[in-house]
Amino acid sequence: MKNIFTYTLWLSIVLCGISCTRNLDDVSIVTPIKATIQISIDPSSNDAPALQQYEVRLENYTENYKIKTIMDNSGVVTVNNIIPGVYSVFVSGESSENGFTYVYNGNVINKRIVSDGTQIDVKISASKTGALVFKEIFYSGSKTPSNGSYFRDQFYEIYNNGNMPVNLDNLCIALLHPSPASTNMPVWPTEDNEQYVYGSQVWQIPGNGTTYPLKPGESIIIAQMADNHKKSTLNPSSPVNLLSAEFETLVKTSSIVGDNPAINMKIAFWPSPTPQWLTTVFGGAYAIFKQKEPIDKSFTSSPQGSTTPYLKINRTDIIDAVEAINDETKMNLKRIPASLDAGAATVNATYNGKSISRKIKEKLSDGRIIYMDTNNSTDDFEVQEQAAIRRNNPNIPEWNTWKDL
Amino acid sequence: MLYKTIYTFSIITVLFSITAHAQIFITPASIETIKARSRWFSTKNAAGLATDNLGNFTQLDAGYQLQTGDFRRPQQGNESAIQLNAEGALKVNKTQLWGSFNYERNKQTETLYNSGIIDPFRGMPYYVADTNKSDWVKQTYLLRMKVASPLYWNRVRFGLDAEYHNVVSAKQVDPRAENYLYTFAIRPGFTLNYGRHVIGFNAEYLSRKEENSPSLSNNKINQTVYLLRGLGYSFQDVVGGIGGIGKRIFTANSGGGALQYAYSAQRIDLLSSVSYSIASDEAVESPTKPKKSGTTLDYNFNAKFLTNIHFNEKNLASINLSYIDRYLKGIEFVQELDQQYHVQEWITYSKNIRSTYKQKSFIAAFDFLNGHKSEYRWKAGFTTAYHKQNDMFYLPDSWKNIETIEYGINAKNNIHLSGKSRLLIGANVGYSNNLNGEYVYNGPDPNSPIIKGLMHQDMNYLLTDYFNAGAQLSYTLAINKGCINAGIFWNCFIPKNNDLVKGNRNTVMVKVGYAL
Repeated sequence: MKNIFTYTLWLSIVLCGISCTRNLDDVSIVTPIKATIQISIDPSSNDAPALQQYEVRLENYTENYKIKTIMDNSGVVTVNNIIPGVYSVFVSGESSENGFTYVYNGNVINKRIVSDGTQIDVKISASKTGALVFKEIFYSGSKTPSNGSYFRDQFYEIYNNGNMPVNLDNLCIALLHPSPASTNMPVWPTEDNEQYVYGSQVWQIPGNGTTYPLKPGESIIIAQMADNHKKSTLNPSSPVNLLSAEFETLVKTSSIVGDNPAINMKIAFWPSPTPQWLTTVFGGAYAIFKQKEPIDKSFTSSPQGSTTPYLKINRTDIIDAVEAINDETKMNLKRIPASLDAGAATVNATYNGKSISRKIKEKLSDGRIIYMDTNNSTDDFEVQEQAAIRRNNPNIPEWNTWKDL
Repeated sequence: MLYKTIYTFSIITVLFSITAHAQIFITPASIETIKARSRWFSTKNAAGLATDNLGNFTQLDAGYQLQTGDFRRPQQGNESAIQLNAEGALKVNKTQLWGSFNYERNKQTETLYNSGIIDPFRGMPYYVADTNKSDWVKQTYLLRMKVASPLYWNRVRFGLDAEYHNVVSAKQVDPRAENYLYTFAIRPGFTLNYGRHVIGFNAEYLSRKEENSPSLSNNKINQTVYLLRGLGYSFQDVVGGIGGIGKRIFTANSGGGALQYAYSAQRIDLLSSVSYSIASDEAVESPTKPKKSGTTLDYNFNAKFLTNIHFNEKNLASINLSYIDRYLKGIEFVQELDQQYHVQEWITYSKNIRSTYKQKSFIAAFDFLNGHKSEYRWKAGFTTAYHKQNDMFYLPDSWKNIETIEYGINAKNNIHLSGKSRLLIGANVGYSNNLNGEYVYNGPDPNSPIIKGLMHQDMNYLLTDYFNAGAQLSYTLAINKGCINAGIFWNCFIPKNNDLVKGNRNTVMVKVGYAL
């Protein structure tokens, strides 16, 4: 009797082991599936010329699997050979009329396609390409000769990519939350999260409205610290000398941080400032914007589980936005909406002295360069082995009298 | 409770190993002879052990092993290892006991493409690899025991086979890794005797857990790693920084059983055995926010046929035939992180088989032993084996096929220098002939180091024909009731040509032991 009991016990253990596999026994070998992509055009884009065709891209970042196809003006296309997974779907197109370039963009990020015949609706909208664009961003920092990590040489270059001069006065640059990209995405109050993005730190260019004009083909540098970073007391291995930068984000001076010739920007929003404006070396999400009204520091929101306030920035005020991420595998952690940046750029590592810079679209007969601006940083940016200011020799604004430093 | 069980198990096993009493002159050749005459010992049904007549013996040895040379797989390193082994068999009141304990401290140098798993060849495709050449230090403990009951009701024996395996290992270069592996297997069984016929059955349950914790020594430099998915497919990720990969846990459970049939006559002993097991092995990232990397389902079928022909007291011929069929499915999951603040967990929406691995092997071995029933004077044998492997990754389809046949002959002479001393001289030669093989990768990263450095280099090794040769010299001297022995063992592997690979591989081992 005792033996029967013992053997029943062992048999039970074995059956338990087998049962562990039971819920996976019916899993089948993966087969390709189809999905239908359908677009709807935002009514606000009615002024833009209609397109005959759109480019449709499906990207599965975890598998590094991409499908590209063309959608005709019916606005519907069936995409074959999809591996079941999570995809970002991008629809884009471009046309020119009356001297303006119109860019259509729309995307659906992190869309699950696991069954045959999945339908995906993509809302697209058209916009004239903006005049001011981020031309180059150096966020990763550099190594010192002794292999230390150096981050004070971060800079952001902004370029007038349009046909008309623009006044930079009151232009803001914001670091958007979360920083850096994270699986712990903030959950914002539902009543306003379709309308805003959320800035954790915002700096503003001073001026009376016409103090700092920027002509087409000119660029400005916003430096974290507008010093010569190559000097022996800082980091001789740094790729940049930022003494000629137009603006800097000086929080306070110290034995290392001085007040350089660059014009000091104003802190427009930063609830808990630190001694320097260090943005994440893993790659942040950045936006430049202008508001008609002065910034209201109390116009904030906090994600669930947090009391930290973040400035609500109306998406319609944003002139340009760029999302940078740790590496390509973090593409599914995108923080900002497709209407602002449908993709993301990366230098793939920290402290490697590399930057992201906008690709050249065309060179005009007067020598002026027009940079790509499809509102998709994956396509618009490329990685530069060494960060450099004023790459491709843009013009320097006349009011920068210290440009030869 | 678990530790108490393991502790008790360890004590029992070690006691078996060291309390057996000598009845005969125990030499390396005599232990080989005992095992050659034992049929049930090679099965996992311990109940049959009583019919094997293992006798009483104890041996304890310590050894040092060195493996060097470039003719190896990229994930294998050069190795040096210190080993301590104890084994014993004992019959107490008609209950047959056997136990062994093995300890090894192993240092592998210049390994590549592994920072995630202790044994990259065990059939788990979902682990972490990096491109930095590194050392691994491993410490292994293996405890095994078999118990066979007396014959009850003149017909039935019960048996228990159990095993505890523990490995601790650490990778020595960034990205570093610390791995802990625990395996516990238990196999209860019974036999039914009908005259010359014996029928046996044993069940098997195995539980294994391996933890892999990556880390950096230099936190200022993040390290790129590849999360492997099989046949060279991988996701690139990083160790270090915010969002870098974290702990990974592999949890395996296996259940199965085996049937045996044995027949004994005056001059012939037969044993045939078939066994089948199913195992699931699940790889999960970040236990606090678990995300499935992949799960394998491992189906194993084994058939074995052993024949011992006793020509007379002195001569024994042994024929072993075995067939191994392994089918492994690699299952991957489509998961999304539920971002709701109070949820924050990975939800599985779809699962599919993304890769399959099929292995078939036929192995035949013949040995002839001449000498006393308890210790051969000389022995000679040959082995041949055929191995076929067909691996497939689905979407985009890639495959790897290998077909190899191996031949080998061996001989040993156990010279009786005197009534109290023996000199055992052995030699073996063999040849491995790759019949065909190919690796075709149609995935998105044909230029990644995993494809160029790991997969292609590994295939170069697997497709290479090679010779192997070995020699052994052991001296045994009886002292009081026991024997001391010392031996040196050498093996080398020489590729037939160096078109795809370079160098040779040599293994040298020295061992000293005591047996009684």
